[in-house]
Amino acid sequence: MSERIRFENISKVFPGTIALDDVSFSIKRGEIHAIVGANGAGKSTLMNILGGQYKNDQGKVFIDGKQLAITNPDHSRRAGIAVVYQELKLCDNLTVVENVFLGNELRKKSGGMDWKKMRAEAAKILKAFKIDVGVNEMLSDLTIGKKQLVEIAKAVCLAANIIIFDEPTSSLSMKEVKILFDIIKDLKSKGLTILFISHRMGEVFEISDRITVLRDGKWVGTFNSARVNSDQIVDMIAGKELSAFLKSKSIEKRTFAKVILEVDGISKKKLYKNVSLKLYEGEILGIYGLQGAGRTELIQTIFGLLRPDEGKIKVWGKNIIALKTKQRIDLGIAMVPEDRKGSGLFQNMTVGENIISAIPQGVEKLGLIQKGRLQSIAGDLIKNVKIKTYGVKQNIEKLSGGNQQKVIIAKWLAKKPKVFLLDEISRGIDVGSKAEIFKMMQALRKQGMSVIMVSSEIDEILAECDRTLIMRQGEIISEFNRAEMVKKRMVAQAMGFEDEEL
Amino acid sequence: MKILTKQELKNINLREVSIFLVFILIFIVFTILTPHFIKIDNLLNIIRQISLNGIMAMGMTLVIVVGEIDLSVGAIYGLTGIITGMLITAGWPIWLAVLVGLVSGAVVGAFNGLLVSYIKIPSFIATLGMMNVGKGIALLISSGLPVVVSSRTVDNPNLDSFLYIGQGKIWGYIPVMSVVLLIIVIISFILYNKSLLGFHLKAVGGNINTAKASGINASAVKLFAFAYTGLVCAIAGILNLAFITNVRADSGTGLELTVISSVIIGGTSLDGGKGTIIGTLIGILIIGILNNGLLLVGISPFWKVLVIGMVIIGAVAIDTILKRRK
Repeated sequence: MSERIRFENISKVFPGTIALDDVSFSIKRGEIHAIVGANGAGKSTLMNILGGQYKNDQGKVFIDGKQLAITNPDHSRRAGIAVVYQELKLCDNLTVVENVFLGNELRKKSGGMDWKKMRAEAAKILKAFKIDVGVNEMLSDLTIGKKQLVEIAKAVCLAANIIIFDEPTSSLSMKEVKILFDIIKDLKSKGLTILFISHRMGEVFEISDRITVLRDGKWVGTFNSARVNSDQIVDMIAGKELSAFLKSKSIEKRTFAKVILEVDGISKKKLYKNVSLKLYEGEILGIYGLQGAGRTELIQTIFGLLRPDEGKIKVWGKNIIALKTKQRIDLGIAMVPEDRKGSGLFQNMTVGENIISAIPQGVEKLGLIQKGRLQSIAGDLIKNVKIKTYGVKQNIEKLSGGNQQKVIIAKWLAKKPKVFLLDEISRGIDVGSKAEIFKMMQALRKQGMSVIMVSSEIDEILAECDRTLIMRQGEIISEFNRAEMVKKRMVAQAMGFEDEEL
Repeated sequence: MKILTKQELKNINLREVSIFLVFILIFIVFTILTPHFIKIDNLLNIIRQISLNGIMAMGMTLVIVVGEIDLSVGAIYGLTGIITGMLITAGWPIWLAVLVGLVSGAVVGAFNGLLVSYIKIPSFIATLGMMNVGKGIALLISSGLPVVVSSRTVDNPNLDSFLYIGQGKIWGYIPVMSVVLLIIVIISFILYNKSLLGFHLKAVGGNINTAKASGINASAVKLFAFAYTGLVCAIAGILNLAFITNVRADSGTGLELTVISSVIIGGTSLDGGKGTIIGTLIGILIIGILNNGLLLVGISPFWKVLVIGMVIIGAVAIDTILKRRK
């Protein structure tokens, strides 16, 4: 088999993180090549470079031995590459056939749209792959799984000869996974080259010829699927156990007596089910899991932004389920959201205004904002939290990610929170800010504040948390005490490898 | 004079300054083109002409800052004029008739707010509907006839004082109407720039998710912006009644576009979260002097419409290009 795609020294830097660091490997013609790694390992970034969504900073991509400059999705399409994205790129307001041919419409000689031909072709492909969907059905009427199959049909229709599947099975039922795998094998037999990204180790071994492991943006290795086992792959995904220094840092096992927050059997349809947890005073509780495991929704529910269908949430023994976010804030709950720009900052405002946005009563008198109070409160917090800024009047947009994150923390510290919910707090921020933020959290914990820390970075969970819950597909599946935390087992559980596989 | 620091200079609203320069430029051009423009009587006349639209634009600024739009301002203006006028001619005490007019404006505005923030109808549609509903009610209760408040139709010793707020001039020069505008501008300025509520308006318009996650009642904040707009539109509608003494149900038709234009020219972003009261005031002044100046210079009134359209597009285009450069 000859070489189909070759990545040579590919690097890509995003503000605050190195997404891909000098990655080189190649993919053979006609193989099914799986790419595995934890969240943030660089899999999606690499596929987005191939798909033309991102441009690599350094390195070269070769297709059939020829270097290819892919700077937009159209280049990629012309090179015969089609991507089936995890987040579907289809229009809900169009029919199946309209979606399949969107951007690649067939015309009649007169210039008009040749719907007859398009419908026939789409029907042919759907039938060939035994996809049970009518060409005239509205996309909005289909289940997610069927939509995914339509997206695959679209990729095939584009006459692509390289198809990338980005976690295609995450929203499919067992039956649909089987259909998908049949399709993939069928495509392979027709000589197409398949890239398959997945978190599910069982599937990876079932379908792939070779496996490439990425970790922290680096290439770890490419292996023949028949010659490795899942135990070895998980080792490579997780990386080495933490250095002795990190482990010793907070290995002291603390005991906690007072429960401050108790979540009792909350469920919300499609998001999480029967989640219970206890948070003790002065404790840092980690919640580890993949994106989409329901972690963010759980945190939002505790903060009052989502309402569970059933269950109780208690603070100091009192049920707060009926309380609104504002009342929960007044009780001492604070949250740093995962999506900093989308729901953490006011980008139209200054640093000072952002900091006081949760403590109006502290700076207001007769309905008017006391400028002096604002400046002194915000000024003190800027110093305490070590925010690098010209001052309270600087526009928040001009700050680095790390400093923006510190502004959000400062905003909540002004309220002196008792329970601090942190959702992926280190995402997109520099190493220095990250260290400072965690140092601050440890100091606050000593003063009795409790923290729930959601993260997909296993290393920071291991370094900071007293106890960790593993969340997978909407459920808490296990709990690790400080002493029991073993990186490999935690990663394996979060990714859903059965224990017997290890 | 205090010299501004570098940081303070950076924080000055560039749009406010640039739009003010445009205003000065247009002002100078008309001063050169015609000797009639700079006369004190003419300038006072411009100030009076912009008063009613200016009052309404203060409310509109807040609505646009929270990221919404209100197309019903002209209808509220017409409706409240009719209500107050009919109550006065029916022999009600004038203060009560005015109060009922003001309250009905605020209620219609609040209703807009309810539709937008609780039933979650897009404001463009909710207020488009309300524009027709308001005009319809005004037509129905007035049977489509003009309402006249004059000594012939109203027997009330206080009528003259009522008409004074629309027609009067302090010291024989300054229109009372413009003093009302000034008061509304000051109230709106304090509300928007100094008060907690104003801070919340900016917060909700800037990022409604963050606002909710900060414990701000975003729905109530939006409702307030609409209710405030309803109230100021009622003030304008009632002033109009006192000024022309003869109002029709459709007297506010089309005003919404002038009002929105002045807010946009003044630099308030339709995306929400950004805008200034002073910018809107300058915006309405620009429209005012263009209307007046072009007429004085003797250019066809048809040109006026075209020029205002170009100013709107030009102002926003420059803004957008500058923003992209940054």
